[in-house]
Amino acid sequence: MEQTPVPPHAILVIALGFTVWSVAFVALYAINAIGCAFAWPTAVQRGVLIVLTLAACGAMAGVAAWSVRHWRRAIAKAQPAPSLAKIGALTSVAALASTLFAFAPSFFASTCV
Amino acid sequence: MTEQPQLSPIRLHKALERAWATGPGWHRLAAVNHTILGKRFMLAAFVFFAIGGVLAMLIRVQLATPDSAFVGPEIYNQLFSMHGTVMMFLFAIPMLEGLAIYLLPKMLGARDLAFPRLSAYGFWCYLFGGTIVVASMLFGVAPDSGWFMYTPLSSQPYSPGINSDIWLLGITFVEISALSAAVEIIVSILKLRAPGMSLDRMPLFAWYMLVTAFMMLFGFPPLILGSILLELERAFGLPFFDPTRGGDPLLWQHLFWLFGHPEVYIIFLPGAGALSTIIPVFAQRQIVGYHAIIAAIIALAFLSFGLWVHHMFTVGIPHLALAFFSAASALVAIPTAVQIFAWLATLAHGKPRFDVPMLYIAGFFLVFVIGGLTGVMLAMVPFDQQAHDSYFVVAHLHYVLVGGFVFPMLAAIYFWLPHITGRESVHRISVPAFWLIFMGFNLTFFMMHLTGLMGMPRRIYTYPSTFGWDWLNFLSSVGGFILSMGFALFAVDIVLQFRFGRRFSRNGWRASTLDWAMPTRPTSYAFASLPTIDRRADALDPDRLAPYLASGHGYLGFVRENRMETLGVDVTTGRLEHVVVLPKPTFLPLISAALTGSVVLAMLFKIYPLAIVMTLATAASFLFWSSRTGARDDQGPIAVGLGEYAPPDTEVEGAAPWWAMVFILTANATLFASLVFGTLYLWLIAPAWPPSEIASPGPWAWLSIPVLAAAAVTLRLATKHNARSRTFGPMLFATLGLDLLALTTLTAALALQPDPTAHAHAATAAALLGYGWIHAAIGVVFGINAILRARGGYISARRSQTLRIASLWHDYAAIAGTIGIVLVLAMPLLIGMLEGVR
Repeated sequence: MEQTPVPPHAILVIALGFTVWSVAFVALYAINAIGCAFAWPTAVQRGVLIVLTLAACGAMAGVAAWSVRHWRRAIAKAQPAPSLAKIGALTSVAALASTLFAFAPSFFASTCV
Repeated sequence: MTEQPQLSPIRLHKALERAWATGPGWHRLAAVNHTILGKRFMLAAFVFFAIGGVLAMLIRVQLATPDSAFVGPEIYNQLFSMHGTVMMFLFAIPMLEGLAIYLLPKMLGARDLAFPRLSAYGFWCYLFGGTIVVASMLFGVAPDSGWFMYTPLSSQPYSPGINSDIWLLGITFVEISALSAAVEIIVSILKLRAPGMSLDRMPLFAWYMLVTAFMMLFGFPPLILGSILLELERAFGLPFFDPTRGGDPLLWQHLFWLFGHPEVYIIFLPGAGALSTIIPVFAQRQIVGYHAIIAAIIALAFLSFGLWVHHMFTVGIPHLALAFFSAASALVAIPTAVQIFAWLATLAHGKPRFDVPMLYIAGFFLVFVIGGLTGVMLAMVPFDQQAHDSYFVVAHLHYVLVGGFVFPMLAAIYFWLPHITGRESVHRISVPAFWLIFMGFNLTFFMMHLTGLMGMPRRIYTYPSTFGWDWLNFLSSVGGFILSMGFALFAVDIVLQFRFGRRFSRNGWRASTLDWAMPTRPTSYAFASLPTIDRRADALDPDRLAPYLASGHGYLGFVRENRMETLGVDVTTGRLEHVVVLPKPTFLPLISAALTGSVVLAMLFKIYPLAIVMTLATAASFLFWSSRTGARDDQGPIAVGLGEYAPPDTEVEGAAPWWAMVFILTANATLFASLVFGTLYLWLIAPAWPPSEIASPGPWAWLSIPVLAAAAVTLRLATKHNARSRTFGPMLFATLGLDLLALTTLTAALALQPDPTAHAHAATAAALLGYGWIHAAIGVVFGINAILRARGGYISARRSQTLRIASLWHDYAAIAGTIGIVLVLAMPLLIGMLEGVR
């Protein structure tokens, strides 16, 4: 039997971007709840949420850039299943856009009201 | 290694039929074949759909006129609760499961699903659970707290009868079926495809079902946990949702909607998968945007889990959290729109021809887009706060669910009916049936937008004539009866087509997927031989492939020792990997499901000793399942045809059962994560904290951690020794002993707990420790199974699946048990942190 041309874990690439998005979403929601329960000063809570949001954006930008490079490499190497890398790049870019849109309220919305 | 002799097509057919066929008479109850079970699921789903439809008609009779005395509020509460419950849990989910079970092996080029007995067990669980729930109506004790069972209304003080218990136990029973189907579907798609069918060559329907099944895997456990916790509260007084004792009714809403919102997309995606299969056939061209559609459904799956709170916008949540969920709710429209534009582009770039399935697809576009747009309206918090709990929401959800699931399913039924019946459709009645359904639906539900905007709340059993809702409600009721007549005509149409349809030529629609490269009606073995796939599997030529496969020229074009064989492939590339030997028809799934059902009934009638006995009997029945599988000797690679050889599934590492355990543990971990979330949620948010008595499980709980870890390590050592052909039996007995010791220490830790009915803190501690206890107990079952199989000669260095699966369970039990115990031990510290603040 021939060598496996694409490793089985390649399938994980297609879920990578939104997995990061999910972790960031849960973290932001949880931090918001904890901050309100512990009555953090608004400025402190806002600061923590903004730092988390920026970290999520940075991580997502990194994932998106890596996914697009991964797709290009897959095409360049003429792998038999470059489509998975393409789908991974599409979902990662979509996850980045979702991050920017869904977490933007961290900068302005009332935290505990 | 010997090649198998080539048989003539007729002899091959007869030999395959002998190996795969289900017996007549009572033996039909032993069926495990996917074609039979898929049809049974769909037929049962339609029966429940009819029951749900009758309930809807009764609702519309009641609301047709103001101050109606047709039924009183008690009956009305049961009517709308049961309508929602039946349609969501007993029609939509089983219908999509049935379609997937029927179609997937055929589309993927396999002879059956990975776990035929699990399919059968799931079917019987569904049938028994559904029957329990529906039968409750005959006795006037049907669930009456709404299909989402909000606490405190569904709690014991406000619903003292068994109505809510029937929902909690019966629906959880049905959810076992859904989870087993999810595992079945995922593993079958990932492992049982035709050689060469890499993931990026799969037909879109398989992608849709893969994503749907993963969503079920993560979506159902929170509701199962919620149901268990609420039943524990109702039956034993553990106050998870009682705000006077440290619980919180909103925890139920979180757990319910963590399931409930993804559920909408779990229902929609299979419908969309059917559309993505049917539209290219009628457009006479390949689908536009194959990769964009896959990316869109993955995005949709994740986003749908990030908007459960949009059902809770009015419960008093901070603006920031509202904004997160509102944004996610609006975002989810984008991947949905990507699919709609891809379908429209496919039609625009093709040469569309019209037939009955296309009528329903046109209906889908209109109805679903309206539902989607009102969904975006409801995603906006200010609008939602106005329309919340009004008939506007009823209109929206019906436009989404009927548009997104019922219309596509009706298109799918007309599309695949010739496949199921072997008869060509006669469409004289189909067209008027469609128009009655389409017009009746819009008349019924469009009016509800208006009644909602005029302020009519959901669930009221009557209304005065002074509010101006009379004519709209009357029109809705008229529309409801037109809709019902449409469905009645549809049912007549289907029966007539079964009876009078002309014999069907293979692939009459000129489709391009593998499901049409077989005889219609399909044979029990689906394919006489299995194809090699060298291109995308939605661009094949079934007319050329079918005779080639029927004559046995593909893989496995023979019968070996009367075994039921299909092929397993590498997850990603579709490279041929192993031969899967499937189990023969057996009554075991029926027996196990009946025993599981008796557990449910015993709990329903609060005969708890009987429930314990039946639980043990159920576990014992599953041991019988295991005793009939596997091989007692090593075979090495065996011929699969086309000059190739592959090992049997018992001798490879990544076979289907191992993957199934991975996914079962994934669902299990989701349930555990929900329990941890619930514990922390109550600590952080619930009123009546801190508790007067702090749970401190003490040394027994501490001791359980190393014991659980030692059991996992010992089993791993046993697995390693077996791999090196060394003696491992004593290690299995040591594992079993450690499992029993863990049970003892956890029992002692539970016994030393403060009264779990006193406060939610003690209740959550008991739940976390109980979770560890149950996992240690199941570890004992795995230990006994491993010992029995080792003694029976089913385990060798090559055939190590039993040990590796048991090892996975023990690893998980050790990790989750440790997390649970550490959380219980950390709670006093966490409670202390909050004391100065609350």
